[in-house]
Amino acid sequence: MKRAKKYLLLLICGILTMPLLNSCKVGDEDSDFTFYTRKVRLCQDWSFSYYKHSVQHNDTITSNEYDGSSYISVFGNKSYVSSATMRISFNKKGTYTWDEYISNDTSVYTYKEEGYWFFTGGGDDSDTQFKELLALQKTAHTKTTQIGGTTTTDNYSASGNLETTVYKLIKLAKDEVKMESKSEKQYIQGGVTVLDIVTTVINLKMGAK
Amino acid sequence: MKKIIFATPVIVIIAFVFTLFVSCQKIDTNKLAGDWKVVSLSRTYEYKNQKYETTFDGSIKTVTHTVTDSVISVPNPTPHDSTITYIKTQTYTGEITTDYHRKGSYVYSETFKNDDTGVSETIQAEGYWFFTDANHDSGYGLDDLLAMQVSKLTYNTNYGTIHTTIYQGENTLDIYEISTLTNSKVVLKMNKAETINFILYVTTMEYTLEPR
Repeated sequence: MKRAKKYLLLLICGILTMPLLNSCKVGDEDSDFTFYTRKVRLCQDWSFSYYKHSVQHNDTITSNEYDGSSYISVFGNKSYVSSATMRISFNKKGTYTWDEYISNDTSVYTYKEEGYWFFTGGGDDSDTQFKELLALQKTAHTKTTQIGGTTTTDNYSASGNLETTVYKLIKLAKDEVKMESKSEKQYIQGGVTVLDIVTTVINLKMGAK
Repeated sequence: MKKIIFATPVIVIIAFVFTLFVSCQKIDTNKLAGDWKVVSLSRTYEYKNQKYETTFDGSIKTVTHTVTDSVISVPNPTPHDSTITYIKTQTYTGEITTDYHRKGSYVYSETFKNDDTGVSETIQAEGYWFFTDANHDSGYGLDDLLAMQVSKLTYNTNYGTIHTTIYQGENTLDIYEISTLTNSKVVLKMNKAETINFILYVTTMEYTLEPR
């Protein structure tokens, strides 16, 4: 009888725990249960397995897409293919570093971005949970483009309460991250309605070196 | 011995449940909720030889634009360089309010009438507000920063022109440092410096909110 009571107690504890496990699921594709906090899951060195950034202005779309090795830039009906590596590292103390190296027969492009990362989100009206949004606050970037013998450089550095870009974390696992950002802006200019859509999709896998 | 064996899984479960509470912690979003009015504001924006200054005392807003040209050659009596400063000041009468809703949305409203021209301008922004999580390297803790995400921005004047911009999705966040947060007073700051291709742009801003 005593043993039965003990097992019943353990069973009750288990049942009480179950709703808490589900409450930890934040992103749509997050697992129902993990021992790792969201911070531990994010703070690693990652390679981009997929990246797409597209900008639509009314009916005109330009896009850049990366599949893990090739980087394809599309401008109207023209496309350019380059080889590339893209990596991002999140540090537990709150900084991140984003690196890109894109090259083809005629040009070499390097990009390095640094900044702070924050989890944010939450509130019934916004339809997000706390820590479902990842805000990247860029504090510096260096872009270098080499075409032929000419090198051009673009520098940015900043400090303080800077505007951030924000991504919705669809999946945050120890070995994979999926996040996306889609923003639409609609306004009237000269009596004409203008629609701008900027979409960014990022998939990360472990293993940046 | 039996008691210890029995207690062990119970302790493990309690500790496990506790860690879940910690890892799933949610911040108190009720701190900021309320209908506020701006009682004072100070803002400057500077780059190169340009400076824009705005002050507001709860009813009068003063905007000053200063341009300093420092290479003016003066030939007589002794050739030398001089400095000319252009200053343009305009004053407006009106109010600024922000209503932070408990469920995470907000409505910002700014209504002013130009004291010289009589033109009225209204800016209304709607959106979502969030606190950000702690960040060791930037030095900010949980609830130290307020992130505001605009979803609709409307600007109109009494000339009949209405400009409305509607945002949807995960657009950018404006970040404010929460300097004071009590039931009777909120002080927000936004200080930033950006160097873009060797040109420095500096913004300083501080404003105080009190219940309407």
